[in-house]
Amino acid sequence: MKTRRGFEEALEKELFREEFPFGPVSRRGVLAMGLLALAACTPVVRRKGVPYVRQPEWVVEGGRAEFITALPHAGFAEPVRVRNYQERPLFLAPLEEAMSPYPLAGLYALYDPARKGKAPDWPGFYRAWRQALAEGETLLVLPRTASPRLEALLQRAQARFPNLRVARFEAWSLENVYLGAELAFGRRAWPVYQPDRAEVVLLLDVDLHEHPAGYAWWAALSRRRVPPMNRLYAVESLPTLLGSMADHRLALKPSGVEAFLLDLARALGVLPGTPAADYGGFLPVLAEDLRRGGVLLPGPHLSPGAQALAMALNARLGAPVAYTLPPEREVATPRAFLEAEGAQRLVWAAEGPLPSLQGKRFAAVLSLYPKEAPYSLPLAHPLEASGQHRDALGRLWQAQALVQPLYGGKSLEEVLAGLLGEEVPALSPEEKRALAEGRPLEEAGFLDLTPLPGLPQRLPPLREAAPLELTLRPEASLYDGRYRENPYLQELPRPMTRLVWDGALLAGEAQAAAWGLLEEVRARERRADPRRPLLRLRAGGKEALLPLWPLPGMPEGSLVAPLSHFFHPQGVALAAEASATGRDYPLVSTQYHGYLGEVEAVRVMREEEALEAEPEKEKRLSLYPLWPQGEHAWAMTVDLSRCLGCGLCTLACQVENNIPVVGKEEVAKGREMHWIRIDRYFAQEGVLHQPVMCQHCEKAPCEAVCPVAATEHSDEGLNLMVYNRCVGTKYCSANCPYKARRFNFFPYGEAFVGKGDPRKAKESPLALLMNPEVTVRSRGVMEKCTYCVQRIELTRAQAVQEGRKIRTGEVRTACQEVCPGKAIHFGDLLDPEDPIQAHRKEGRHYTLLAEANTWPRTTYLAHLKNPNPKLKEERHG
Amino acid sequence: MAKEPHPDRDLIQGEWTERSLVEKLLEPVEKPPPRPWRVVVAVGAALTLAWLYAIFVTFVKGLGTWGINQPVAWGLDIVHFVWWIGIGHAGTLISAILVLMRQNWRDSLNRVTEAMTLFAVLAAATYPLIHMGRPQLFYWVMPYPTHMALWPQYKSPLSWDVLAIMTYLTISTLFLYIGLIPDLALLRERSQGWRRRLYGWLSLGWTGNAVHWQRYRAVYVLLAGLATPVVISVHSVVSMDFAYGLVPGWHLTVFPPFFAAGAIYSGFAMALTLIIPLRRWYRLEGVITERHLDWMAKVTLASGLGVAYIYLLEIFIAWYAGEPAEWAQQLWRMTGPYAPYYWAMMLINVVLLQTLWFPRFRKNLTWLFLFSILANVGMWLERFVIVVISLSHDFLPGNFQLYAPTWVDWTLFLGTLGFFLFGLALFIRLFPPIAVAEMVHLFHKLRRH
Repeated sequence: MKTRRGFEEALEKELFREEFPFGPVSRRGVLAMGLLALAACTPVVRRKGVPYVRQPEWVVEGGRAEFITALPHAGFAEPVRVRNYQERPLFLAPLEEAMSPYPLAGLYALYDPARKGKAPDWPGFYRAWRQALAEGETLLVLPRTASPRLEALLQRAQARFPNLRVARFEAWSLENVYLGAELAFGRRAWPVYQPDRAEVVLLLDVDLHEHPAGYAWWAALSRRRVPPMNRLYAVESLPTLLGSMADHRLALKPSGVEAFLLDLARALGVLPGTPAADYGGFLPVLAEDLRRGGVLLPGPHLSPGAQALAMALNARLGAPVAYTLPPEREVATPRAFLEAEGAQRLVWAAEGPLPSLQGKRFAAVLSLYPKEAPYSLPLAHPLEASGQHRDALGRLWQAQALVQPLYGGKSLEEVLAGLLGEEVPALSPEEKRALAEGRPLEEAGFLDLTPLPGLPQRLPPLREAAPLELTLRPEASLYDGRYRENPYLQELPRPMTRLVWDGALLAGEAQAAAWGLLEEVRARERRADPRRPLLRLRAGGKEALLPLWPLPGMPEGSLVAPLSHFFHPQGVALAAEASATGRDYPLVSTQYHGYLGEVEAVRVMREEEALEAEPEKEKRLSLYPLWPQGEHAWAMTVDLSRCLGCGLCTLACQVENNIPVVGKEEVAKGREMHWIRIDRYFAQEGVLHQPVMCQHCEKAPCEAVCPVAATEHSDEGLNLMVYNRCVGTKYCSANCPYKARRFNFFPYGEAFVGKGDPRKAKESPLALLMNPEVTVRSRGVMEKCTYCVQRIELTRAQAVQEGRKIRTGEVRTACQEVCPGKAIHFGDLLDPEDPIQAHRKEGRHYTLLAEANTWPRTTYLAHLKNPNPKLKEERHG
Repeated sequence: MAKEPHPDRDLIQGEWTERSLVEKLLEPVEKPPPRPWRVVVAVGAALTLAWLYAIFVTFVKGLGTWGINQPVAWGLDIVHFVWWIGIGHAGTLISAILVLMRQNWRDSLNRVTEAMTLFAVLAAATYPLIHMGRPQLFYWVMPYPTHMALWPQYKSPLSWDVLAIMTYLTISTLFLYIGLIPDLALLRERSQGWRRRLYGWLSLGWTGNAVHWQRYRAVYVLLAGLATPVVISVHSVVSMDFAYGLVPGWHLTVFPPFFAAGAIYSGFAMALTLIIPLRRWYRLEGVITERHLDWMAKVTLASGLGVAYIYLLEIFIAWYAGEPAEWAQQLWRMTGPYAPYYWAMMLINVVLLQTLWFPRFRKNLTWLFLFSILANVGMWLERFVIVVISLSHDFLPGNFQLYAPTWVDWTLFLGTLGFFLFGLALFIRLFPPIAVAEMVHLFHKLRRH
């Protein structure tokens, strides 16, 4: 910034010598005058707080601290690092490679004032519960838990209260996996895969968020999506994110997927006989390829028979799979819902749908958010409660409470201990040590299993074919509906559909055409008319109205409804009927146009092409001199081969940078505020994903057009946005070829914090969620990705304090930290050690819209495919 | 020596004496107004109030009340800004360029078109102000010394816009005012009460002596000389808001002449829209003759042909440049969801425009009036095509998005229309809509021959 400062000083001298009576006034002088004036007008405020006499442990005034804990999602631990700012958890990063978006978005729930119900009367509740237990059988429905401490408490409680019956409820059950293991190995077990160790991976109708280990899988798989590459095959009944990264994808109906598995088992000799079909040459080629060292990753909803086949196949292939005991002592199933409906006395502590509580003698609901119930008691947020959770890899993690319960909630352990009149024990030294060292409390214990002979005889019938096969699958954002209150997740675009705030019935284009609805839907899409036909869906004696969203790449006859919007106690695989109602429902998607056409935004290359390719030479033309170069030259690369478009970066950026949620209506108008947008394109090669954020162009079109110099360039290459200076002409946004800028059309920030009412922002507890290092933007200003400039500056401050330079890779942006595929890399172009140098020299390195001559600092690495030369097409079925 | 009849003798038709001509020209100011005037004032005032309400809503609630969104960051606000600036072009063109070219037919048209310019530019200037996210800080776009030593960013065409529009507003106001001075003095002599005081102040002590006239003429021609480049520059600068941008459909070097031609075209069309009823209501057929209207139609045709040529050129360039985004933008205009707008624009500004080649159509006042309105609809569509349709479809398909204006957008438009009519109606009630001194001068010139 040296030259600019010199320039400004020269200007000051020129300007102010005449105007100011005091002679030349330096900027410092003006500031001092201003401060004096301010001091004169501001009344002296007596602050209530006084400094600590004795500083509590971990409280650093104005400082940041980091803790390790494990947060549960659907009963499985997600070990995380929690960033605290003055005792306020503000950000989560995965402790290991990957985490799901749910704990991170859960930070909202921690502060959410909607959690506050009536003041909880815990003693009264315990009394009533004990009385109910004295009267007769009382059902306690728990969610999936894998905590030994909780199980011990439960056993004690059941011993003391014989009338206490316990059921476990989970809409998205893992029962079929355990049953499959029982069929294959003779005992219930939980498979732990190491997909990075396989050369060939077959994804069987499974997505990232559907399997507890999904994100970890992608962390592992993505390492092999760069040369030397593995090969991914997907056989699925719904376009999934994992499937979109596959080199070959076969779309089949759900029953078809299982039938395919049967044929594959025959082809590989696990079952006798020969395959009934060769799937256009797909099956023999796949079978041959799998023998090179393959692994099958089946979705948890596949029938027990299919699970058993997959396990047997994995055993035959010598796949990198190990088995542990099921993490749940008693399996949680959707059937527990029926039990709960039938129970006379019920304590419902599970998540997802709520059973009917009418006509019960005793009914209590334990939940994060208050519910309509005779007894509605608050559960503690995972960050408010200690506990133990097992992760999907079978390891046990200790969790610690990082804040006092804000709304009087208790953890399930505390509730049970309360019922027993006990105290939950404090953390043991061993547990504390595990937390401090960031390691699991207990490593996974693997079982030594061998496939039992005679599987063909024991094999139960697989999923039955039906004209319309409905699968109820968790929604990418709302999961089974338990995150319905979370606006971060509601507005996080569902990766495939880019839908926000709603769930939809997904069906193939051919299916929609068969109903005679496709043309109308596509015509409305072109007009940006959000209305979509509402269908009446009947399955298993239940009915639901769901709007239709035709999804390319989905096979005819396959329907997917989100579990958050359609729950069935019998399970998730159903035969369905659907009929048009003639009514419409508005569905809002963030992406209007899904086809690339001739635009080369996402480059796709084959592995060998990428190895041979020369790095693209950027044509750099400019009449203006270069910017002065500072100590660093920050830059980012996004590896599209490792990005499957899950949206975690969008969410992390939102949490880190105080980005508001704007609501369905505003998104419908095209005003979502996410700084990172993930473009999804349906292309010949399959579904492509591309995160697009501010590219920090060195010749930024936005900087040139701002009339008030509100967007400026730093000497380290950042395209800075000066909120204070912005008058909101929106010219920068109009001129940005990437459309990476977001405008505060309304006071979105205040409205978000005030839960819809900007005037309530100041007193809302959600204000605590705001990162103090980042300005909350006001109405009428433009904003965009800053490369997490606050993190750069904090790191710089740290380095200066320690009298050293910023280390290689020390600055990590929020998006980079959470990316499960490590697709995002942030680095310094002036640092010869930085891996970004290698990225930029790769043959598949390219700049987005190089023809615009903007010289972006954010660049991309082409999406790599490793198709089997024996298969001509990438898409089958 | 046989007197050659003056070639422009038919610019004033009918039997006139100097006195009767002056009486006739001052009628709008001195006689009770005709009925349509009251209607225009009432409608104009009502729409102006609605306009103020829409601005109030915008300021209180925020720009979110408009239809603009992420890719389409500029919507009807900028469409109307450009539209009004364009309309404001006829005035200066008639006053400045035609003065320098010694075109006699300008004399009966310049006053009303200059007034039109003033109100059109005022209407236009409101849009950049209210379309700001933080309009209270509008003065940051002006060059003034601040303690932070921050100047406007002069690389931005918006900074040029500010200067161009302020220059244009100043020059066109000065022009209007200087031209008014002899008439104000005349009115001062003929009126009583507050009007006499008002005209007295405004006429700056004009007595009509030869020195006054000599200086007046010199200033007028000088101003005309100064204003001439401004006529071309204002809309050229406005066009650079777009031409400077990267957006496909904006990034064209042909934009400055394109916008200048479009501005003259729409300015003359608007002048026709105003003058044809004005002439009828105030019975001014003797001084605004069919020949005047014919001339105006011809200028409309000439400038319109320039516009039409560039429409076709744009298609050619989009194809010839071989830039996929440009060509995709062109196809999007022609076949996308906004195609009806594009084709309506082509129909009006390319096809229907050709009728003006034929005297039969130019002499048909009904058609001329209708076409003048259509031309401005066409120009509105053109700006919609450029601003909205381009932005809705730029480089990355992932960010394409359509745009739907809200009631606030439309009220702001109707409001500026109302303000424009209201202002003009009041203007011709206070000041003669035809320059009396110029006309008397012309009358003498024609009679001498």
